[in-house]
Amino acid sequence: MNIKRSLIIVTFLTIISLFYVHQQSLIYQIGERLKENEIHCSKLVDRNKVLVYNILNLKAPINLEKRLENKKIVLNMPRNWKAFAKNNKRQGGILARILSQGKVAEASGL
Amino acid sequence: MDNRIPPKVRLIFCFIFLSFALLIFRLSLVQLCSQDTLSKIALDQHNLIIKLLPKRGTIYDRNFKTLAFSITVDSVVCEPRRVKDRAKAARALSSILGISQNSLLEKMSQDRGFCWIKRKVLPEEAAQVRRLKLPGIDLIKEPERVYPNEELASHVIGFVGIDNNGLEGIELGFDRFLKGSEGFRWTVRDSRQHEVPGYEIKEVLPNDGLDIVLTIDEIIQNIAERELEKAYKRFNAKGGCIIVMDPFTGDVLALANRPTFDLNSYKFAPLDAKRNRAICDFFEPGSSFKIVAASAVLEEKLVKLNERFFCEQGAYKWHGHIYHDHRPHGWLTFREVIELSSNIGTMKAASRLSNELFYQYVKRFGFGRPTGIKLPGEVSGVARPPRQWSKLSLTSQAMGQEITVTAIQLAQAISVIANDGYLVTPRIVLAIQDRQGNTVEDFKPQLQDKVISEETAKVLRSVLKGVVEQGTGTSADIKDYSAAGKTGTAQKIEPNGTYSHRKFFASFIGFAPAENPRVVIVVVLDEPRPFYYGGTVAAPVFREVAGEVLRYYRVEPEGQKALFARK
Repeated sequence: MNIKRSLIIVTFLTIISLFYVHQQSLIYQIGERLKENEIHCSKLVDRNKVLVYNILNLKAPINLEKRLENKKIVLNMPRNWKAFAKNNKRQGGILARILSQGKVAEASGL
Repeated sequence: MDNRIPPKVRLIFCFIFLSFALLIFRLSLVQLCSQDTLSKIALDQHNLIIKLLPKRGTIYDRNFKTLAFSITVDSVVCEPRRVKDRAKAARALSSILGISQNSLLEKMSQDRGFCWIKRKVLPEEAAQVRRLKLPGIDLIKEPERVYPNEELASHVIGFVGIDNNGLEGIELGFDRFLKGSEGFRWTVRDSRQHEVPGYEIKEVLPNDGLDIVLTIDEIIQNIAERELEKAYKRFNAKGGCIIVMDPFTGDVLALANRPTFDLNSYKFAPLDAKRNRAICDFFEPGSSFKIVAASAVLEEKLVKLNERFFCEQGAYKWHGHIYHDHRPHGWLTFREVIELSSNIGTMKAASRLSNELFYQYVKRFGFGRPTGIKLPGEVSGVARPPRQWSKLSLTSQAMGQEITVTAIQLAQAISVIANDGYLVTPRIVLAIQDRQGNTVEDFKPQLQDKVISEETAKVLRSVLKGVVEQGTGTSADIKDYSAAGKTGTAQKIEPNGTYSHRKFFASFIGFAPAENPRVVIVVVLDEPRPFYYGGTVAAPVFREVAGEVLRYYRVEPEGQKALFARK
């Protein structure tokens, strides 16, 4: 009787222990997977930052002007231009109002 | 039955008992006496504290164009104790990283757990090192500051050192906001010294640095840099600077210096190129300082605009010293005195002021003290008090000698005339924001004292407009817009204390449009050659910059008013 009870207890403890080990192993595996994903994500963020830098560098006025200069393209701001005041009064029919959203075209560089 | 235990067995028992007793004794010693030391060693081996670095804040211009931000790059590190074949590792790394084998061997031979091989390497170098898979050689990520606009506004933005601490400009002045604070992760590690994921004990996230929004406008800055560069090269100047400022708010829209440097490779730039001349260099302003004397005599009503002064045909003896005009003049009205920049006429007008009164105006215009622009290294210039003056000091200072100023002080002074008489503090930072765009600190425009009345400012604007239309500053005349300003040509002082006849500071300070100013511009060139007059050298820079800035601001051209149509 005692042996039987002892065996049950030992079996029960063994199963509990196995569950515990399995749980710890799962925690570790999930942690590893999270870490890998985190590294992958940070690599993508880093890559994104480098690409953003490249875009900003290409868009920088100083570099745009250098490229224009190298290609001997001369651009000037318009010397003569005409300005129209924005008309805030909504005019026209309902459709025109919806489509224009109250904006009036601006012209410059005439 | 003999119950006696045989002596041999007793001996064995005694031996076992003694052994256990010794073990217990040793354990007690370990537990009671060496507990602290040993538990500390165990914890050190088991625990791992990882520093979590904050992201340094971004620097934006006033339109939220990025001027400086951080990316992540690799650094090559070494754990010397883990390197197996040092000679082989040194040979392989030397060819990739461009470091001598001897230097690498020296680093790897140290009895240390960690050392840097090369910090912040190029991506291609990092990829090659990674492919080598050398034991004990590793790559770690580090933040690197990058500046997409390269040399644009380099003296304003400044730069950071290898450890991301600000060393110059806004990067230094606002370092405590930009750098944020470190966090940490307390976790455990395995026998290979690697972090065991999922077993974090405690994690404190880093506080990322705050973003800085500058008053600089990237487009205006580019215009200013381009035109200054042209003049700097054309006139073979030793140096130069330009400031474009809003006279009403004090917003510095552009601040450029020559020589300059690329922020991404600041280490290779000479020291001279890194100096922010606009705030760190002081010089005698010459005739551009006549605006102070003119303001004082007009405000105090000691001179009328149409009052005539005899300019002695170009040479005038005053307290035993002979003063000259750059061109001989006879009778001139006070307006013409300023327009034609007559030293003698200005002296005669200024001599109606007392020393104390003139000094008050000098101080009220902001000279002799830092303007308070939030850039590190600003100097105050030299404006000596009247008790240290000679008999010649008042008249000399009225024409811009015996006093030294900075370019930013000149911008502040000319703003007084442009904005109807208020001294405004130059502002370089608009706001400090967090990552979500919430404003943490807002820097409002700071109007200081009223220096001159609106009427005097208006009269001075018309006089300075005359300087551009028919005076010494005709080269500053902008097509389609009116402009006002004052030229300045100052002799530099030789090492023996005399005025040089070969070295000059050429300057132009002005604003446009003349009646309703949108921008004030200060241009200073150091030792231009062969031409050296402010009207010849600096005024054209003003004209080009002001014209383009006004068109960028879509200010209605004054010559084209008839074309303006209002629906």
